[in-house]
This record gives sequence, C-alpha cells and structure tokens, in this order.
Amino acid sequence: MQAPIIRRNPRAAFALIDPLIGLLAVATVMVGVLNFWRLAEYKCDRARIDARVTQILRESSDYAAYISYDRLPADGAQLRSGFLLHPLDPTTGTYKQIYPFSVTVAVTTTNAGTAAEVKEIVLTLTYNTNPQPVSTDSSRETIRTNALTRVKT
Amino acid sequence: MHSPGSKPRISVPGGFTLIEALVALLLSAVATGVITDTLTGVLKRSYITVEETRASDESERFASSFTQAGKSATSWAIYADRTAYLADPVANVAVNGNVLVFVDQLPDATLVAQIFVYDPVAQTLARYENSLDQQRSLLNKVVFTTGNPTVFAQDLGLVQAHWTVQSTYELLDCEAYGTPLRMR
Repeated sequence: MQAPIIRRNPRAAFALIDPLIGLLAVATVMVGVLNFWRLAEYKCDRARIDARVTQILRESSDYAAYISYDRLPADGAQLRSGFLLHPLDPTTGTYKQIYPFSVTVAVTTTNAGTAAEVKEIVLTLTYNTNPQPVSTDSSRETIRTNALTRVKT
Repeated sequence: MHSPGSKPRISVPGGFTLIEALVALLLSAVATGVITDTLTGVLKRSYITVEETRASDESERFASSFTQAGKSATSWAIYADRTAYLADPVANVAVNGNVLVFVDQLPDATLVAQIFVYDPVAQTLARYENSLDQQRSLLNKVVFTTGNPTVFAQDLGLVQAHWTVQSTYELLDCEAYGTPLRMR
C-alpha cells in the first residue's frame, strides 16, 4: 500500500499564522523603539537633574559657609525652594517650571552661648521628579550633605 | 505527454503578486521611517542635553571664579554700572549694581583686580583681570534673576551674585557667594 501523496496548491497564499507572526515581529520592534526612546529621554532628564542638584547644593553650601555667623539660619529653616528645571515649551515659547525642590537646614549647636560655640550644619535637598522609567521608583528624592562646621569666633 | 481527453496543464509560477510586494515595501518604509525618526529624536535630545550641560558648566565655572576671587580679596566694591565705575571708583561705590571689583594682594605686594561686569543691553556677564581690556571669561544671554534688580549685591554679610542664562532650550538660574577678608 502506497502512502498518500499530498500535493500543495501552487497558488496557495499565506496561512493565517504567517501574517500574524509578521505583525508580532513589527509590534515587538515598535515596543522596543518606544522603550528605547523613553530610556533616552529619561537618561537625558537625569543628567540635567543631577547637574542641577549638584549646582543647588554647591550654592547652598557656599551660602551656609560664607554668611556671617550671626545670620546663620535657624534649625529646621527652609533655605530656599523653587524648581529644578525650566525647559522651554516650544509651543508657547515660555519656560516651564518642573520638578519642585526645597533645601532645609539642620543646625546642631554645641557650647551654646559661649565663645567656643560651634554649629554643625547639614543641608537636606528634597525634590520630586517623574518616577519613570520604572513605575515603582519613588518620585521623591532626598539628599543630605556632610556636616558643615561654623565656629563663632 | 498528455493522455487523450485530458486538458493541458498550465504551469503558474508561485510568488508574490505586485500588490503584495507594494504592501511589503510600504511596511518597510513605515518601519524605517519610525526607527529613523526615533534615532534622530534621541540624537537631538542628546544634543540638547550636551548644550544645556555646557551652558550650565560655563556658569558654574563663572561662579567658581567669583567665589575664589571673593575669598582671597583684600578689598572689594560694587558699582551701579560700568560708567559709574570708570567715572570714579572711590565715590561711586554702591550697595548693589552690575559691576563688582575684587582686589587681591599677592605676597610681593602686586595687586590683582578681578572685575565682573554685567551689561544688560548686550546681556553679557564678563570677567576681566586688572583692566577692562583683559577679558578672561564671558557668559551670553544673561538676564536678571527674578527678584533681583541687579546682578551683584551686598547683603546678609555676603557679596552675592544672581544671574539667569536664557539658553536656547532652558532657563538656568545661577547664584554665587563670597566673603572677602574684610567682611569676616
């Protein structure tokens, strides 16, 4: 007994699975492209945020280091606040204000009221950003500086 | 060889039709366009970041030179503007203004002056050494920071500078502080 010979119709078109696989491949590429774009955006944003955070901490540290001793801010005072970035909005031609921040000071005083009075100053920078690209990341960041020592005399 | 009575078979070559090839080409073009657009966007975004970082670094270097000159200065003065400074550097001293001069004295008694000048018309902030002919650094597109009517001020026992750079893509707020020896 001979095995049946299966002949394909030479004019047969794609099977259903063929375009589906093609669509899946295209969709995968598109998702990859979009994620690549989001990651690039995020990295650029982070670079600017990190540079700005460094700048604000340098400015605030300079302020605390050079202001006259008697005018040092009190413990818990807010030194400054504002927005980290002011990118240009091309549609309106104005600068936006994004990512609010604040800098507070923690002051520890030793030998208070004496000539040997010393103040240890720690700056805390708190800011909010987008939590992307990982949605579980916190959008709130806090940075504390090393203690800055100011001596009264 | 055909058997008698049977119809002759016509061989039809298998392959894509014209419409299939066109659709494939269209899909390829769309995919290529999207990928190219994405790569261009990523490169442009990187370029913007590099530009912003460069502008920010320039201001940081300027702030650093301000603080450094302030720390070592043996005398200093603020003037309303360049004209006031040139007219009478002794009588025209002000509490705030757009010209700041730090003077440092080297061990061999040589005086070194660092002159910071903001020009609101040209929107430039420049640093000169010893005279207004010797420019050492320059910032462009500089405007006043909101809440500060002048760039330089003496306040809270500090010599302060506040300026804002209006770059192409971002507004950059900058501050610098210094305490000359005479103020400590």
